[in-house]
Formats: sequence, structure tokens, C-alpha cells
Amino acid sequence: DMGVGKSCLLHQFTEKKFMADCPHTIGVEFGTRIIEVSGQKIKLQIWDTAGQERFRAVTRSYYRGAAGALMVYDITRRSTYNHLSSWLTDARNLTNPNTVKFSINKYTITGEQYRVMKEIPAVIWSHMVPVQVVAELTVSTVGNTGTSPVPLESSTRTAGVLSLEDILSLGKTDNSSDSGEEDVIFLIGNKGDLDAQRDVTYEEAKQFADENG
Amino acid sequence: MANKEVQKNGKFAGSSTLGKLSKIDPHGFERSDNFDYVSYEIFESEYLGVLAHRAKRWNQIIKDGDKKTIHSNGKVKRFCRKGIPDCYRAKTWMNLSGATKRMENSLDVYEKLLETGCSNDVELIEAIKTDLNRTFPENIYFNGKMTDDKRQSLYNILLAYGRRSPAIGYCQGINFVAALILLVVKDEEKSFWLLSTLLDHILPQYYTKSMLSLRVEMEVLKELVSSKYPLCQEVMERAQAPWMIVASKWIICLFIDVFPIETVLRIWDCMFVEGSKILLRATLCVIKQNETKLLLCKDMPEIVKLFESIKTDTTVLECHHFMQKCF
Repeated sequence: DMGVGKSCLLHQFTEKKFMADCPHTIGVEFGTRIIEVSGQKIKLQIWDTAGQERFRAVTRSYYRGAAGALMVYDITRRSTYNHLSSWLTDARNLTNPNTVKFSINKYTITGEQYRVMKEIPAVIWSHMVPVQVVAELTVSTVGNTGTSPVPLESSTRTAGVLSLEDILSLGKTDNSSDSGEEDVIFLIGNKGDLDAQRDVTYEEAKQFADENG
Repeated sequence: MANKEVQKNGKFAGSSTLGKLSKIDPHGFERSDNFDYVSYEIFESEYLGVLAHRAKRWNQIIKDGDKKTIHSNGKVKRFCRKGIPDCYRAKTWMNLSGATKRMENSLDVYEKLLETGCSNDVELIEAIKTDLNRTFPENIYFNGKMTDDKRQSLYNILLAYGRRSPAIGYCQGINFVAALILLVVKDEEKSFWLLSTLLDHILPQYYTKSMLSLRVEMEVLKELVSSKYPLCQEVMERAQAPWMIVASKWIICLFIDVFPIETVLRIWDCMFVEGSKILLRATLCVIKQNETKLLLCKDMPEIVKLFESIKTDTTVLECHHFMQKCF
């Protein structure tokens, strides 16, 4: 949905920087980054789509061929969570319907992250400007290998974004050990720094992920 | 050279003083750290001369005609293609688009729209508020650096428009269009009427839930490129890159954040008189200008990157030449 922080997430992932004045996306934008998984370099091509419903008319035909998807919601706005199932339907209908699997992991905010966030200029903390720090990721990895979600070493990380990279590579590792036909969907509860205004609990997001994969 | 021109045409110089460009452009946009001042000064030194000449010619038109209204005719159309001087832009856009007339015929309508809620207000307001602070955060009139911050006006305009045109409501992209109108026209109510005229009459169905006109434009674009620049279309097909991916933002934002602001305004000068066809003209022109580079692209990310770079491309910045090539 609009304003959940998709572009900001992408920017963090590709540039490793928090973008305070992240403009909203019209149509589709691209981000690429090369990551290394088990010694192999993989070029990730990430499509960032506009969040407003009507832009699905523009973007939905380009889901095909995707190896995975990240579904992002804002933990402080329940409506963005409620719309997840319709995004999921789209993702399923337009990608590979049988192989989409979910499981979920939790990445919690550490003292170090909190310190980093505190250094962000105060102006962006005001209520009107959505703060888009990725401090908590409610994340899924592929489930049908029978392995339980891999625990993340949260205490050693200094920024939530790093964990996103880890998770993506985890997904990739799982993926390659499978038939190779697996589509991965990640569920991301964004804006974890606004925990005080939380409207969607981690538990129900986990339940959503469990029920759907 | 630049210094001389600026001094000579000082009153058109906007923010520049003695050839040293300010960090903020005449429309309030903060120039980014990597702004190419050298190229811009070269461009401006020439463009200021053009502007001075156009201003002189426009003074004539305004003097010749009725002082209050400007009527559309062949001469005016030609003049608009050559660019409307800043001081006449708001008035010309308002008159030639028919917005002034609509406003005069609808006294109190704007006020009433702001007072009276509608059935989908909750959704509408949430959507508008989500984007309000994401509209021109690099502009001093929209980022809280000025006492006459325009965000409240922008909010009012978008809300009133969404209530009046429920088939569109709020569509992302309209916020940029409304904000630029507000920067040029300045008056809130007038801006509302110009926005309404633009979205309902000049560009119908572009922003509706089905985005029908946008999709049609993209199909037309594909056909036009196929016939005019077949090699370009081949590259696009080979890369499986639909024009929708590359160009939908151009149309939705009417080139805001795609082209430099000078060029956007020049395109709009034509749009309010001649209608939507200028959008495809400008799109084709930019494709033509980038043909050689496009033919070297191997995949979609390269194509996307190429067209993302046009914002800082001097061939697009030189808006006067660019507009001449459009026709």
C-alpha cells in the first residue's frame, strides 16, 4: 500500500543509507545489487512498484518471471496489513501459484539500532512524516525444505537493513537447494521504530504468514 | 559571457546574481549537491536572451489584445510553443485552458467543496496525507522552510478535487501536478480550477481507477515508435521492456521529476492550449534524442537507467531547442 516504505527499504538495501525524503514511486522503479551467496555472486534485480491500488493496472502484468516478492505493510496502519491478502492473491495469480511458501521470522530492534535511529534529524520524527527505518522486519523464508526459520544474529547487527540482505540470501540458499522453481515471498512489517503506535502485532502477522504458506 | 547576459537581463535572472547561481532555483527547488552548475550557466546565458525577447513579444500581445483575457488564435498558439514568460504564465494558462471561465461561472463552489464532506472522505484524506510530505520535499515552499508554506493549500486543492471528481479521487502524481500549478499560479482557488480543468477536460481518463487513457497512450506510443524509430522498438521488444515501465511516469507526472523544471513548464505552456498530444510529442522527441544510446542497451535495467538520466541531460535542459525539435 501507499507509504508503507517500499522505496525506502529498497534504497536502504541498494545504497545502505536511510533516505529521509523518500519520494513516492510512480509506476515502477528499479534497484539492483550484487550479493554473494555461498561464494557465488548473484545480481538481484528488484522492482519497486507504486503502492496505490490503481497502479496495479500498470504494474501487475510485469510480475511474471519474478523469483520472489516482498510484501510490505506498515505496522502502525492496520489497513495496510488488511490489504495483504489481495496483494498475495495478485502475486499468486501472476507468478507460480503452487510453489509460494511462507514462513516467518522476527528481527528485533537492538540498542545499537536505536542509537543510530536517534541520530536521524528530529524533523523526520514528527508525526506527519512517515519514518521509514527498517528496525523490525517480520520476515518469511521458504518453508518447504522442512527447516525451521533460521535465527538471525540480531544482537550483532547495527542496522536492520543488513538483516534484509541476510534474509534475502537465506531465501536464495533455500531456494537453490530446492527444485529451483520456488518463488519466495517475504512479509515485511515496516516502521518498527514506531513500535509505540503499533497497530498490527507480530503474532498476527506470523499467523497470516503461517496460514498462507 | 554568463555574467554579461545576467546583468543585461537582470530582471529575468531569477535567483542568479552576477552569474553565480543560487542553491535555490526561481521556483523554490533546492539544487542537489551534484547539480551541474557549469552546464546550467551555459544554458541560462543563452536562455535569458530568449526569455527577454519573448517577454518583449508577449508585451505586444497583451497590449494588442484585451487586457483581461487572452484569446487563443494561431499567433497565440505559436507564441505558447515558443514559451510564455513567467509573468504572464499563470494568466495565460488560466485563460487559454478555460479555467478562468469555469471559476467565474462557479462562485462559492470551491469553498463549499472544502466545507462539505463526501462518502469516501476517510480513504481520500488518508491517501492525500500520505503523500503530502512527499510532494516536492526539495522545494522550500513545501518543506517547511518558508512561512508561506504551501502544503495546506495543496491539501485543500487535492481534497476539493477528490470530492468533486469521485471517479478519480486522489491518484498519486496529481499531487505533483497540483503543487507545480500552485507554484506558478500561486492563488489556491485559481490553482484548483486549473487542476480541475486539466484533469477533467484536457486529460480525461488519465487518472481514473482503470487509467484507461494512460494505457491507450502507451499503446499509441508503441505504434508510433515502431513506425518512426523501428530500431528503438526492436530494442525494447528484445529487452521485453514495455513502454509502460519506462514512460508511464512521464505521462502521469506530466514530466515533473522527469525533465528539468524549465522544460516541464515549456511543455505545459503548449499543453494548456493544444491538449494532450504534446505529451506524446515530447516523449517521442526524447526517445529520438536518445536513439543512439538506446540501441546500445542490452536489457531492461540499462534502458531504465538511460531514461532516468534524462533529468540531467543537457539536450533536455536546453528547453528552447528541445521544444523546437518537438514540432
